[in-house]
Amino acid sequence: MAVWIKPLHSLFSNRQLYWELLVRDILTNVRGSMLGLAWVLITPLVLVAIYTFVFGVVLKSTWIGQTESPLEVPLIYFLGLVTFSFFFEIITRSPEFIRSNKTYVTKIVFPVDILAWVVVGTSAMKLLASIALLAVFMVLVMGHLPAGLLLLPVIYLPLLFLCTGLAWILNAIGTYVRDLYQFLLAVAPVFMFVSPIFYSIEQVPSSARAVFWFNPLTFVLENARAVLFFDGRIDWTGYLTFWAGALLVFFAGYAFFQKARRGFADVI
Amino acid sequence: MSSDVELSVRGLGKVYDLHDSPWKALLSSLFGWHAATRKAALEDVNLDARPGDVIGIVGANGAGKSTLLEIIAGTRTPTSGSVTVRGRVAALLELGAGFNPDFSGLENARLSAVAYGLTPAQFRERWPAIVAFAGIGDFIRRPTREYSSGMFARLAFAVCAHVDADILIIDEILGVGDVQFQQKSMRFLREAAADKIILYVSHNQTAVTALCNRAIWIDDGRVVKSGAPKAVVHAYHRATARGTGAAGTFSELGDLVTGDDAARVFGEAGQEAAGALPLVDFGTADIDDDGTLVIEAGLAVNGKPASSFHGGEPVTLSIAWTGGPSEALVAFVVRDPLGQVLFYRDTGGIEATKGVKPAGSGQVRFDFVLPYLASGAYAIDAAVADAGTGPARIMGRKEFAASFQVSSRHISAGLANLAMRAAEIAVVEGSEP
Repeated sequence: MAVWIKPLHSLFSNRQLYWELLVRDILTNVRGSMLGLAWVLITPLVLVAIYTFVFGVVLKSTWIGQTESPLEVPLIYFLGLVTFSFFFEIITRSPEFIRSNKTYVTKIVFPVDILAWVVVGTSAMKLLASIALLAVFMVLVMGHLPAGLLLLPVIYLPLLFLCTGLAWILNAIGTYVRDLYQFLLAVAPVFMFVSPIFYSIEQVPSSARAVFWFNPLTFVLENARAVLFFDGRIDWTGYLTFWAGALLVFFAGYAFFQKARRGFADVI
Repeated sequence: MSSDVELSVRGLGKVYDLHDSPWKALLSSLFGWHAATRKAALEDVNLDARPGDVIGIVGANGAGKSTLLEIIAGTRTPTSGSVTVRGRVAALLELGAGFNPDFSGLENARLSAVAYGLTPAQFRERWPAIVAFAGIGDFIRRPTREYSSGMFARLAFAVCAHVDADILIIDEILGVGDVQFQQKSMRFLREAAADKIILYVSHNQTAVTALCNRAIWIDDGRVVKSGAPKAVVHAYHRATARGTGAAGTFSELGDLVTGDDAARVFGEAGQEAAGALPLVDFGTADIDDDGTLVIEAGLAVNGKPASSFHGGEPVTLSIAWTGGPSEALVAFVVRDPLGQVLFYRDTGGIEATKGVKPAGSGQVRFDFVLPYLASGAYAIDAAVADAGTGPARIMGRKEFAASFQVSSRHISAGLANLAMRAAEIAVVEGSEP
């Protein structure tokens, strides 16, 4: 089988198991709680409320004056934050994910590589819920759905592949080196501030700007913001570059994981 | 359907790399490096199985049983050798692997079944049968954290019983649950055995002999003995009962216990090294027992049969045999209730028996003073060996050839008692009270 089809083939041939695991993973956090799945919406709702207050009322923000309504500004922050937490959740959960599912590794004949898809899938579902919520608020604030909403899947798709590749790498290293989880917990907040969530890439001094583009979130944040709030368009050249980088990480991550997984059972 | 099912293990070896840092462990997986310290867990294991084979695997903890099963199941990578598996494998290495306590029995069963390779549709179809098999009533819809360990085991096993595996790998998991469920799962395994390969690890030796049609005994990563379950379990049981079952002890004596070297017991070398050597070998040596050799033994005091002693009396042990070798050597051991060997003796070193080589059948009388043993039941095993040319070979042995009771009149702690005559305490003059 061609190398480039392998990771997708594994997911496809185990799709039923994947679906069961994904549902299980999403429900695990809320199971036993009284509100259950509603928490998937409540958490971002609270976020919107806080950001509306802080960035719409208290602080003078970057984008004030550029949007039709000042109430759109908190939604811009919200979009940035849910995108970041999608990424954050994946990189902080991945290092421990194999260990926390170790019975699958050691006790069942199991396609361990689909666990990375599970992490990404769960975060993607939450992101989807948050964006649906965002759409509702945009209708409330702007009175209509922006056409750019349709472009969001296009923008986020390469990020999905990139994050899966990253998840494999972190799965693999984290299974051996337990410090990775702690390390990522420590640096992830830093990552939040070097991503253009609370500011635009234009505000970054042009000398430092090149470095920013290596942050996988930069492209997504800038373009999603543009199509959703400023009637902008996708930077298609950048988009192709982003895809190229994403696929590189995806396949490299898979290859790395496949090599490393041989020793999983011996170290956990 | 099952005609293609096959399991073949060739020269399988597993060496664990003991890395001193996790980074090194990671790098060695990536590049195939090895650590400086390595520990062999399995060495040159071979195994072939076809549908209908139910193979029991016995051995002490840490002997390598689980490693073997995990490699066959595909969850662990072997260091050398190969495993060829054709057919769907269901490994029950741990009951309820992947069960989440917050989810209901139904939800856990579904995920578990899909992980074992069923489609959700197949699962729905079999669900009633699984519920019936588990027999835990309405609990099936409750979170599994509310389950007793027995209920947990019932459900987990019920799922495994319905996943259509061709090769079932079962690692010491049927010890849980009540008697009724244990019997149910045993019955299931027996019925399923016809067209499946079953690998069954258990410390329950009765279960192994009852269920399996072949057995292997693994010690220190090697297959020490394989063959009929009864013989294998027997050999293993004797080894453990003697308290030498620990892997370390065995490897030191390994070649004595397992090989044809058993003959040393009765050879000259064995006699000279009087003591340890014969004791180890008496029970586990491979024998050429074709069933023609018959051994009888009896105990007597003053010519009258007896089986109850106090210790200290002169006892006669007579061992008679028919169908033996032309030059016979006769030996016996006395074991305590735990199977430990207390005494060993044979005719080899005894002057009076020299040159007396009865042909075919005969009788030996050992007259000795019974030591002061602790109260309890004791057993005597007797054996006849061929003392003809070349190293002696054990021709046959009889366990529990005779047994006797001791009710000791002496008090002391340990394997034997002292026949204390008197004890005196002297006060040294001038010492302070």
